Amino acid sequence: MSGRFIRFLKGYVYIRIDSPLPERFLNLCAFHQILMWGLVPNGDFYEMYMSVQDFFRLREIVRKTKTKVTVLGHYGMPFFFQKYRSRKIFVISILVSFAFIYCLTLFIWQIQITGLIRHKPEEILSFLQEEEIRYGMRKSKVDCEAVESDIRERFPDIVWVGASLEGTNLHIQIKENVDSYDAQTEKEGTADLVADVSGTVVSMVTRTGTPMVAVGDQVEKGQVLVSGREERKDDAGTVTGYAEGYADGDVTVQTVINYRDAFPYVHKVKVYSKKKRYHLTLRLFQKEFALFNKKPKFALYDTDTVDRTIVLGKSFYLPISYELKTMREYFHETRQYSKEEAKQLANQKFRAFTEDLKKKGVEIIENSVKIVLKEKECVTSGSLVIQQPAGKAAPLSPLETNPPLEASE
Amino acid sequence: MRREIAENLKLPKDLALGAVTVTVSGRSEVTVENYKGILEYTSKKIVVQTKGCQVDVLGEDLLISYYTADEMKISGQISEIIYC
Repeated sequence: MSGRFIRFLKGYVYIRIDSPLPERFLNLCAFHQILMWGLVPNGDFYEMYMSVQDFFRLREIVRKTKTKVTVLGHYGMPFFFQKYRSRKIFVISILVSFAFIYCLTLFIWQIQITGLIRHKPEEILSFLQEEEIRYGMRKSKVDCEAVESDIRERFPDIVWVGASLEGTNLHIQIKENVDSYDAQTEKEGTADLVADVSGTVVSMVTRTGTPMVAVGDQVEKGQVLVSGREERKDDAGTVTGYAEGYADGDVTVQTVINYRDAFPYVHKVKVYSKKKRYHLTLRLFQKEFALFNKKPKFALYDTDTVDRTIVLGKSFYLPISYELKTMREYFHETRQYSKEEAKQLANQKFRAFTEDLKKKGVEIIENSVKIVLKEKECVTSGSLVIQQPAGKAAPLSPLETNPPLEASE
Repeated sequence: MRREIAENLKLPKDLALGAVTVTVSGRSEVTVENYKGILEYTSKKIVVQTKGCQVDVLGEDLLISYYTADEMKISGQISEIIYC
């Protein structure tokens, strides 16, 4: 590979020799350290490649062996320049652009952060900024290992960080420890577990604290379910004091909720006309240049935005990006749902509502929701019996019972 | 005399005696080292003069991929290699 590149740099020729003593010609060339390659016998001639430098050393050998040499082709850099010598600016601009692209590869033009769950990319980016890791800095100044350990140090809940340079992209992969986050940040200090909904307790597991309600009890919103205060008793069973902690437990409450949704058959829909307007913003080294930024004369329009960074290959990000906004004009048109369509839509809405509940950990026990198609509107109403986790941390409630014995004495 | 010295000193023969080295890869490639020159070169026959003998490489579509004072590589459909 390097040999071929050097040949290209120095230039080489493809020649044909017509000689009464071809073998002697070849032997003399070898003796004079003239390298030949791609040597092909072609009838009475021989054809071969040879470097330009060696070609000019053939004179003596040609004279000795009475050989006729014909140049069939010339290749490589010197000939390329000769070919384009009248277009100097063209060649220079090619070279300059290569040099420019090479210079661009020495900097970071993209910082990509993946694997975040709780933290926001902006948080990590601003931290990196404090650590002098920023867009447009020299790649050679980035110490990936230092970046990794700095991030781990600053964010203790991040258990693994991988920083790597791919082209002009600094890729930071992060793995967060979600469990330890809960334990460390939320379960310190003292707190009660209070009901955040009203209903009947159907199941209860207390991990820490004193349960204040039992299965089957009716609880109101704000009522203490598990107290963070635990009684300390002596051998006789007398309360001697209280230990305060962070109440923790799982309480499930059964409750009834009402669902009602109504929509008229007559509704408005968007109808797009074929008229479009474009706004193009070019970003060079984080400086913005607005091209075609005329405001559209549409009364109503939707805007789609596409933001792209120019990438050469897979990871060679350039400091050039653009934002293309497409504004599409639309009009409102009045339409009417058929009864079938309305029923379908109502079903769809109700399904979305129940899916949402399920995501929150709510279990539906009974469902008496019905769809009624009235004259002008479609009404979905009814009640749902649900079981849901109830309990949120709240500051410890003041002591209502008699003060501990120790305090009274 | 020279052969005996080379054998006793366990010197490589190509260095001590100037023996030709022919390396054959499959039937499409032959590398020849330690030769004096080419005596004949056609697409069917290449004759190489070495210090002790001639090496004939016979075949079809023979061509010399590269040729220097020390080493040459012959490619093509090789059928015979004869020492004479």
